Amino acid sequence: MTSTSTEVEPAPVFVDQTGQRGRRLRGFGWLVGILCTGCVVAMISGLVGTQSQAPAMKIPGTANTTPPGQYLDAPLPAAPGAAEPGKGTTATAAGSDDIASDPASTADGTAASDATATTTDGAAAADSATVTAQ
Amino acid sequence: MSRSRRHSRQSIARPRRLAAPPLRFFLPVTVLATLLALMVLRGMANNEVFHDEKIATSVDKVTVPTSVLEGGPVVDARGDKQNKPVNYTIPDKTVVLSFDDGPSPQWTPKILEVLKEQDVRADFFVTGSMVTRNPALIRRIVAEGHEIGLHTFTHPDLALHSGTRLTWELGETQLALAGVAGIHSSLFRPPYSSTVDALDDWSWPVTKQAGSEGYLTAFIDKDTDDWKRPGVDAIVRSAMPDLPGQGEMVLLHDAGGNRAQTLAALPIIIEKLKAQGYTFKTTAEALGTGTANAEVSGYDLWVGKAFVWATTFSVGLMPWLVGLLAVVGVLVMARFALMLVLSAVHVRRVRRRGFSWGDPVTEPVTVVVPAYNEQECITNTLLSLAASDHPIEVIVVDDGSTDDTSAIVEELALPMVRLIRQPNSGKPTALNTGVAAASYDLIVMMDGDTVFEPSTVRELVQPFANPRVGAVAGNAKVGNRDTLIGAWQHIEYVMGFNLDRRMYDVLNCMPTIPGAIGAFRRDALQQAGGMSDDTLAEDTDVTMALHRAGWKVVYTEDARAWTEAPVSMKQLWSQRYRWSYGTMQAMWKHRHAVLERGAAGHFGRVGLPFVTLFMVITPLLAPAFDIGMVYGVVFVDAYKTLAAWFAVMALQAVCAWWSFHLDKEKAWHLITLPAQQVVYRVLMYMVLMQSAITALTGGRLRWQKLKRTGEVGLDVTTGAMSS
Repeated sequence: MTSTSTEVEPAPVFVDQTGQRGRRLRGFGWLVGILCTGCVVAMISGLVGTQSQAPAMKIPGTANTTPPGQYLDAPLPAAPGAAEPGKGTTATAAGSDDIASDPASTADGTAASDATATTTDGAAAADSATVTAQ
Repeated sequence: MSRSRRHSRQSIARPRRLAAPPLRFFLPVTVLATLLALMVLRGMANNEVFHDEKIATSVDKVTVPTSVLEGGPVVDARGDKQNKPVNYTIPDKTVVLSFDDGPSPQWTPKILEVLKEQDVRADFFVTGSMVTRNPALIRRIVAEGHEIGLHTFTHPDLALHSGTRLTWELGETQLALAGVAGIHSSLFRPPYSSTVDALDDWSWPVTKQAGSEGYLTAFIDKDTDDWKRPGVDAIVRSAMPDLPGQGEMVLLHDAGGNRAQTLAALPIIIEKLKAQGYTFKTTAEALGTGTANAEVSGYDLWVGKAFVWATTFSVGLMPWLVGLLAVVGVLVMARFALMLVLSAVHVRRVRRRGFSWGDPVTEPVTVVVPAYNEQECITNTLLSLAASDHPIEVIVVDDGSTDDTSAIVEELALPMVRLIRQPNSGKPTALNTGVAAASYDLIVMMDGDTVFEPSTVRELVQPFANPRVGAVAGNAKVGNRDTLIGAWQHIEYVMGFNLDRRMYDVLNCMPTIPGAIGAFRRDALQQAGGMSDDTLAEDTDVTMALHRAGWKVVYTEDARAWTEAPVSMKQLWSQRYRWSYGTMQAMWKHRHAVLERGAAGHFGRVGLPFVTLFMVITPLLAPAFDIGMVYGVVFVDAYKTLAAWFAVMALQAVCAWWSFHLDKEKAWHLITLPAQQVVYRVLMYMVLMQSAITALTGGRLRWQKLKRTGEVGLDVTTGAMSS
């Protein structure tokens, strides 16, 4: 049988004699594929090739660099209990006459507050406060 | 779906479809890659990707410079300060309020209200995942004059992660900020950080690296511990300066749980400090400069916008997709359950003591064997028929073979065998020729490469005792099961016949009588219009036509036919391609059954949707499950994901074991089941994808003949009989 006989015989299910449908769909498929490729490239570049460098920010020379331990406006004498229970910055209780002159006491004080300090910002990001806060 | 049948090559001038386009690989791959990328984006926004809550607790602090430990809360290790970091202290009578972990749609707006009423500017250290989920809040925070700092994207303890991870966290968060508000920030606060004197050997490198990437790291002076919800008074008390007039950076939280206490404490803190003469500033203002937020433009802006758009899209799309997959997953599980139950029902029904289809059927039967180039197998086929314990005549229809098939048949000269030669015109025509020449009203159809047991024909025709039964499906078994690919098909056939077919039998909607072994009433065949070459699956086509004509189609487990399964992946592929495409054609041809009445309507409304759902739609969605698994393993929790995967595998193993048990097969072939499931899934969805594309585009298929080796011989038959 030759190709002329295919016109006599009914076309099998799904078969499109003209090929028109196939060409259209194939074109559409390529379009979708290329769109998807574009999306994937964009998303992957967004996931790996990002700019992590912070913008420049100039800090003026006037910025306060005095350590808090040398806070000069501290009252005399230190209020009892002001620096009591592991309240972060410590050397303050030393009072005005020997501010931070004793590095050992400073170091001890900070060390003592560490155990609590390291875990304080435990409020984890989303929805997990209960887990971390136990 | 398992059945055995084979087509002869058609010589009708159907041009072969041109070489397959790369589109059929390109399109699925890109669609799946897009899906995976969208899943990752959604997972990042929901803080599911790379999420962990492990916290490092350390250790020594020998590497941290003493000046840093004793200095102010803002550490500058940028540029030339990398090795000589400088700490900035909040100036006297100045307070910086900082809110971590937000923005949260529930609490941040209320906090912003309070700040607005009190005319106070504050710092918000936000996480990237919260930014992508709440873009409008970020824009509001910026518009109301507050300052944004980075608190990473996923809130991990960076001391436990690599420098690359930190870079990624910072970059993604900047990307999100650029996308939602068009800004980048120079401020950073590490998650789980605290006062600067809490820095240790593990967390210090994080601060140094942040400095090398240009960030000021903002620690705190006063931790209110508000996330522990200690009570409003306690929060207020701990926000007060140690020494009156001393500047301070206060830590509060606007997300991560119930922040009602924070919200209540905030106005009290502000009023008390104002009363002590404090002014409220952002970090940058406290350091004497404008703002730590810089506007971005150009590439950074647009890539950020694209990122946020894509994330928003994926966050919106994924619930629907997950819902769809959940529905499909439930349906697949329900199908497993239904198969287990209905196969048990079927077995109870047909193995019941005293069960019979009616009076024993003893009338002679015509066996039609279409043969195209079957010289390796035809001898075994005919000799096995000669041993039949039921009276039969055999009609071999030689469909224009180019080998010695006819000569072999003539040489055998078996008394009950007739040979009809016809020019090559396809298997359906050969079957019709055989049926037309048949002397009897019951007709068995088999393949030229199939071997029957002596009792097969008798068992196969017994259901015809019931006058409503129009056709019977037998039990095709794989003979060559010693190779891996043969063993896989063996598993598939046993499961297909003992689970699927029994279920279809009970539901009365069997979609296919296998070409390897089926029996028909001549009346029923004539009513259905005989075999048609409209589709590549004439057996499915005729079975559906029989249903529509109102005949019952049943399965009989004891009529066994031993068939030779494809021995190479390539042959398996082309066989399955033909089946799958042919099934689609047959379903489409009989689609109007859905609206018909009576038996046709039952088939149309039960059988067709069932087959469509589980033979077309579910396997086509299978890749989405696999992508979900890849996502789960790589980005979320590998152990849980793999556990789920193994659970599904175990369920399949149970089904497989049950079907082997029903068929009294030895279970040891099941050791290849895991590999079978993996390979078959991929094979089946690739086949289906190609079939669906061919169906949609209207392309043509050449009928492919499998290469035969003739290895399923009589010895298999006798071996099976003796066991």
